Amino acid sequence: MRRYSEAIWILVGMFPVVPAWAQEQQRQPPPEFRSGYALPPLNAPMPRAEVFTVVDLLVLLAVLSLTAWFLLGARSRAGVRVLAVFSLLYFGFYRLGCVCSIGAVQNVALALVEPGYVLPWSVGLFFLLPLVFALFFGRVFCAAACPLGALQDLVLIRSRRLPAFLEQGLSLIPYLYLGAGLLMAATGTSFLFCQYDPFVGFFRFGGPATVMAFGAALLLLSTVVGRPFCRFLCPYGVLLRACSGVARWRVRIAPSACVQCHLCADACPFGAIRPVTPNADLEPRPVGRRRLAVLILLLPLLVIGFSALGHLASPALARQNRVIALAERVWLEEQGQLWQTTEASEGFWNSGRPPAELYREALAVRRRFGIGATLLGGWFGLVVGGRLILLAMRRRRTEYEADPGACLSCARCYAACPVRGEVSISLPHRVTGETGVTWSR
Amino acid sequence: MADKGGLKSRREFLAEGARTAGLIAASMAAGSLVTRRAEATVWQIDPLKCIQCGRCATACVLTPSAVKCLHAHVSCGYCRLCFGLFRDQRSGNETTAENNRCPTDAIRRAFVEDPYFEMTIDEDLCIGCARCVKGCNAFGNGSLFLQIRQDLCARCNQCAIALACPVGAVERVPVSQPYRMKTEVRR
Amino acid sequence: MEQVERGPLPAHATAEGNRTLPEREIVQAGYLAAVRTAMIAAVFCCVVVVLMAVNTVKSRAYDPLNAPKLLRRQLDLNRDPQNTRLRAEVRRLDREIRTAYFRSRRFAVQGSYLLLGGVVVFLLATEVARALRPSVPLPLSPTVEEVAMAAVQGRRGVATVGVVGAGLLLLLTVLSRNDRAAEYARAAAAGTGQGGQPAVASVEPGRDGRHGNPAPGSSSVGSAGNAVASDRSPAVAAGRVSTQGDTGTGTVLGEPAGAEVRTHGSAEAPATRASTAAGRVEPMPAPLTVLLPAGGEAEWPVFRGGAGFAPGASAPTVWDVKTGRGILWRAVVPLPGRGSPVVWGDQIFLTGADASRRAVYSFSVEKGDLLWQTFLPAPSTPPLKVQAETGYAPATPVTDGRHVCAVFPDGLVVCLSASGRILWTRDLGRPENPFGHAASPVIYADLLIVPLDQGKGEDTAKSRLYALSLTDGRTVWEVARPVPSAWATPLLIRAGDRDLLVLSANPWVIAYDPRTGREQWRARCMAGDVAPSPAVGGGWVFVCNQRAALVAIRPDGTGDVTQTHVGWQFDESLPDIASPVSDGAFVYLALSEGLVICVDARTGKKVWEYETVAPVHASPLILGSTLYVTDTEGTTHLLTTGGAMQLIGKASVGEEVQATPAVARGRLFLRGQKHLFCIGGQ
Repeated sequence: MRRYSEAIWILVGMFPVVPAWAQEQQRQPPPEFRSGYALPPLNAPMPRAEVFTVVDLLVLLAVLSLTAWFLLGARSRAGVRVLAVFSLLYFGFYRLGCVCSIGAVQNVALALVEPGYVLPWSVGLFFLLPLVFALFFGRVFCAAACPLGALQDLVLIRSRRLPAFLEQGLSLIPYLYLGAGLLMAATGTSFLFCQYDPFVGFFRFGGPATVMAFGAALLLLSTVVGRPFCRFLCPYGVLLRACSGVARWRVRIAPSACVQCHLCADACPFGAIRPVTPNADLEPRPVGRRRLAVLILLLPLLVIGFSALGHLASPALARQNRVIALAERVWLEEQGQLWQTTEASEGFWNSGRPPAELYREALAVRRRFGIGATLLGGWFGLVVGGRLILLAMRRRRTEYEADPGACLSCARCYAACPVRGEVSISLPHRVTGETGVTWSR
Repeated sequence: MADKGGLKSRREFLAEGARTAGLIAASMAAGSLVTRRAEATVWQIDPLKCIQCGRCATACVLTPSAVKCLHAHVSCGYCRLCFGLFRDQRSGNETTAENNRCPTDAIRRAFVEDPYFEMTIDEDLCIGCARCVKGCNAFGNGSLFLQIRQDLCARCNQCAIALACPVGAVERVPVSQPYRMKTEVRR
Repeated sequence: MEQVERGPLPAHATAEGNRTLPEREIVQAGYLAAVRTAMIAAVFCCVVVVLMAVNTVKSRAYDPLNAPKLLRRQLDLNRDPQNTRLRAEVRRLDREIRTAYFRSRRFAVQGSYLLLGGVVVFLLATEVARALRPSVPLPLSPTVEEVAMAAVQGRRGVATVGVVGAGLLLLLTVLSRNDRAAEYARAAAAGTGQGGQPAVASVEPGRDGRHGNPAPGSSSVGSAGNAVASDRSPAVAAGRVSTQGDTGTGTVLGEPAGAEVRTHGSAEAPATRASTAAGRVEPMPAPLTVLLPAGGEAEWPVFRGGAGFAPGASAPTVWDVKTGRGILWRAVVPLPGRGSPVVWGDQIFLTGADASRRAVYSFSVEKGDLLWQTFLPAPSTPPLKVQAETGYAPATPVTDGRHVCAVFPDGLVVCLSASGRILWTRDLGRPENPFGHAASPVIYADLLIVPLDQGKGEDTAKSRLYALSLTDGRTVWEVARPVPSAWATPLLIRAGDRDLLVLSANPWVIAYDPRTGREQWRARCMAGDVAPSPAVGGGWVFVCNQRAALVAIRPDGTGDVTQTHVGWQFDESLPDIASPVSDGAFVYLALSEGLVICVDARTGKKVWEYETVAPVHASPLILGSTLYVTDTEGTTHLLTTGGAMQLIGKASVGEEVQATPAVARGRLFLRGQKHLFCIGGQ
C-alpha cells in the first residue's frame, strides 16, 4: 500500500565517489565511461512525515474527548459507535494498528530500563493520553478509540454471560500478560503484545498464520461473548482499570430513580453493572471470616512462593533473549561441545569481537532477567492471592452500581433502562431528571 | 445512603488524591517527553552487517516484503557477467531463466558501452530474497544491498524481520534518516 | 439502536406494542431480509476464506524461493549444457512458477478485500436486523443460590489459574536446568578482552607420548599453561603462554593466546649443547613443534595435518576395497581434484573443479553423506590453462573449525563458514605458473597465509606471500619473494621462542614471522621446480627437491644461514612431488620412481629403501609408528618406522590416488579419482 501523498523521494549518491569500504571490497575496477553515461541516482521514498504523527495524536485526543461527551454528556450509543467505526478505520486499517497504546506500554518499559533506548514523544503520549482520560472519564479509550476494542464491539451480536468460573479465572490473564510483556520488553527480548496481537493481522492484510487464526477464532467468539480480548487478554486494560477506578465522571445509576429492574445489568455484555447483593447471608459468618483469614495469611506465602518459582524459572525465560541465546551458543562452540555453527554464531565469530565481551553483555541481561522474573512471579502471586481475598470478602450492595474499572463505556446500558434515561452520570449528591414512568406492555 | 455519606466522601477524597497524583505524574512525564523531543524511529537494515540469509523475504508481515534490493551504481563494476545477475553454476552466458539468480526476474541487464553493462532492479518484482546481493557481495563489488522501503513498511512497533535476523542487522533508525545506503555507511 | 430521547418512552419498550399490523409485517419482512442477507454474507465470507486457504496451500508449490524441481532441472542442465530440451523445460518451469506466484499474490489481495466487503455486509445486515428486532434485556436478577455459586466458582476459577500458572513456572524451572550462565560467567571474568582470535595450538612431531600429552622435559616454554584436558579445548580464555623473549610483539594480532605447547623431546640432542660446534651444525636442542589452528590437535585441519607426523593418531592397517573389509564408506566426489581432504569435527572438506565449475564440498565423517557443497563461479575469461597433472583444484583447503579456506589456480581465495556459506573471497590475480598454482594455504592465529609464487627462471618479480584476515579477507601483510614458481605448502612451526613460517622454493628456503611477514632467515639450498613441502623433526627443518638435495636446516638462525645453519645434505634419490616426513629419528622420502627411502636424521645417511613399484605422489604419513605410503595406483604400503625396513602390509582402494590422505579419529580418508574413501577399524 503505497501512500504517495506522503512519500518524498530522496536522492542519494549523486556524485560518483566510491566510498572507503567499497574501495576495499572493489574486486572489479570502477568503470570509466566514454560515452557520457550518467550514473543513475540512488533514490528511495521517505516515510510518513513526522507532522502526521501530530495529526494522529490530535485525532486520538479528539476521539477521546468526543467519546467522553457522547458517553457522559449526550448518552448516545450511536455516537460512540460512529466513533468506534471511525477509529477502526483510522487507527486500524489506515495506520495499520501501529503504534497503539497497548504496545506503547512496552516501549515505556524498555525506555525505563534500557539507557540506549529513548522513548519517542509520540509513543509516550499515546501511552499517557488514554490513561489521563481514564482518570477523569473512565475507559473511554476502550469504547471508541482502540481499534481492537472497536472491532470486537462491532461484531457483537448477542452476548452470553460467562460462568463465574471462567469470568474470574480468565480475568487474571491480563495481569500475567502485562507482567510477562513488561519483563520481555524491559530486557529487550521482544514485544510480546505486538507479536501476539490477534487483530493486527487483519489490518495489515497479512501476518503469521497462527496468530491470525487465533485472531479469527477470537473474532468469532466476540460475536457471542462480549469483547473477550479486552476483558481477558488486554494488558493495557489493567492500567486503564486502575486509572478509571478513581474516575471523576463515570456512568452512575442514580439510586433514587433506579427501580432495580436488572435490565441494565443484563444489557451490559461485560458484566460491569453489579447487582444488589442478597439480603440473607450466603453462608454462616464464621465460615466466611475463617476463609478470609486463611486467604489473607496465604497471600504472602503465595507471593514468596511464586517469586521463588519465578527466580528459578528465569534461565529458561532468559534464553528467549537473543543476546543470551547467542552467548550460550558461542560458549558451547568455544568449548567444542558443538562443532556446527549457526548463522548467528557465525556472524559473531566473524565480527572479531572477543567472546568474553559477549558473555559480559549476556550476564548483564541475565541479571535483569533474574530480578524481573522474580518480580513477575511475585506479581502473579499477588494478583492470584489478592483476587482470592477480594472474592472472599463480604460485599454489601443495596444499589445497582457500575464498576468503573470494568465498564468499557459502550453506552448500551442507557437504552436498556426503562426509567427514561435515568442511567446517567451524576456528580455526587445530585439526582437528575424526573421520576421515570414504568413500562407496561 | 445518608449513613454512607461519610464513607463516600472519604472514598471520594482518596480518589481525588489519586487523580491529582496521577495527573501530576502524567504531566511531568509528558513534559519530559516533549522537551526531549526524541525522534520517532523506523526500521532499517545495516547492509554491512547483513549476511544475505534470505529471511527478509519471508519474515516480513507484509506480502510481498517491504524489503527491496537497491543498487549503488557508484561502486558497481558494470561487468557483463555480473555476479549478482548470474548463478555460480550456469550453463551459458545469456540472461535467461536457467542462468539467472533472481527467482522473480527482477534484475535487468542493459548495454551501456563496451564493455560495460548496467544492472537495474525492477522493484515491483523484487521480493527481497537477497540472492543477488549474496552473489554480488561474495564475488563482485558489493554494490547491491537490501533496504526496507519506508513507503511500504508498516512500521510495526516490533519488526518481525528484526526478530528473525540472525545477526541483528535490522535496527531502529531516526525517522529523519531512514536509510542506511551503502554509499554512506562506514564500517 | 435508536437514540433514547427524553419524552416518549424508550422505543423498544413500546415499538412492538404500538405498531399496527401492516407495520409489523413490514418490520418482520425487513428483519427476515436482513437475516438472510447476513447469512448469505456469512456463507460468502466462508467461501472466500476457504478459497484463500486453498490458494495459500497451492502457492506453496509455486514458491520461487523454494522450487526443488526447478533446482534439480537446473543442475541437470549444468551437467549437460547442450541439451536444448532440458533448457526449454527449465525456462518453462521458471515462467510457470513466476506467473503462478504473482497470480496467487493478486488473488490473496483481492480475496482479502472481498472478505472485508463480505464482513462489512454481514455486519450491516446484522445491524439492520438488530434495529428492526432489538434484543431485549431480561429483568432477571440473580438468585441467592446463583450469587453463592458465583462466589465459590469464582474462587475456584482463580485458584485454577493460579495452579496452571504455577505449573507453567515449574515447567520453566525444569527447563532451566542446564544453564550455562555460571560457566561463561567464569570465562567472562577471566577473559582478557583481547581480540577474538582463535588461539594457536601446536602438535609436536615429538617422539613419544600420545597426541595430547606434554612430552617429558617440556618445561622450557611454559607448556604447563594449559594442560590438555580434552581433545578440543581451544583455551582461549587463558592466554597465558609464557613466551620467552620477543616473539614479534605489538602487531596487528596481539599475542596469540596460549596453547598446549608440547615439546619435541629430542633426547638425542642434549639441551645444553651450543648451537654450532666448529665445522658441524648440530640440530636445534630447543623444542620444535608444528603449529595448528587452536583446537586442531585432534583434527586434520591442513595439508598433511601439519608436517605429516602424527604420533598419537591411529589408523587401520588392513583394508581391501574388493572385499569391502575396512572400508567404512565410499562417497562420490562430483568434481575431480588433487587436493587432499581436511577434517574438522564431523566434516571432511574437499575442493573439486573442472574447466567451468568448481566447488567446495563437505562430507560427513560418520556416514560419508555430502553435507553441503558450495559452488564458486568459474574462472573468468580467458579460460584457465592448467596441466592435466595439476587439475583445476590442486590445492588442499585449510580449516580452523569455523572457517574453511581454499585457493584455486586462477588466484581465487575463498573463505567459507563451516556450514558452507561464503564469508569472503579475494582475487589475487592469475599467477603465471607453468604447471598451475598448487601450493596450499595455511592458517596462523586469525590469518590465512597464501603463498603465490609465480614466474619462471629468473623472473621473480611477481612472487608474493599474503596474509589475509580470516574475518574479512583484507590483506594484513604481504611480502615479495625472490623466487619463481614453487608448489610447496608452507610449514608453520614454533622453533624455541619464535613462530616460523617456512617456505621452500628455488633457490631460497625462507622462514618468516607469520605475524608480521618479516623475514627471519633464509638458506640457499634448493633448485628446480620445488613441489615437496618442508618437514620437521629431530631439531631440524627438512627441505628437499629432485635435482637439489634433502637438506637439514637448523631453524634458529637469523639472516642468511646458508653457511651457518645448514646441517647435512642427502642427494642420492630425491622426490619431486611428495613431501618428506620425519619422526625425529629418521626422514622418509617417497619418490615418483616408486621408492621409499629412509634417511637417518642425525647423519643424513640412507638407512634403507623400499620399492613400491608404482610412482608415489601422495606425501607419506607417519601415524603412530607406522609409515603410510600410498602410490598412484591406490595401494597403501604400510611400513614400520625405524632403522630396519619392515613391511607390515599393503592395502588397496582400487583407484588412482594422487592426494595425501587425512587421518582423524582412527579413520583414514583417501581421495581417489572419483571417490572419497573412509577406512576404519572394526
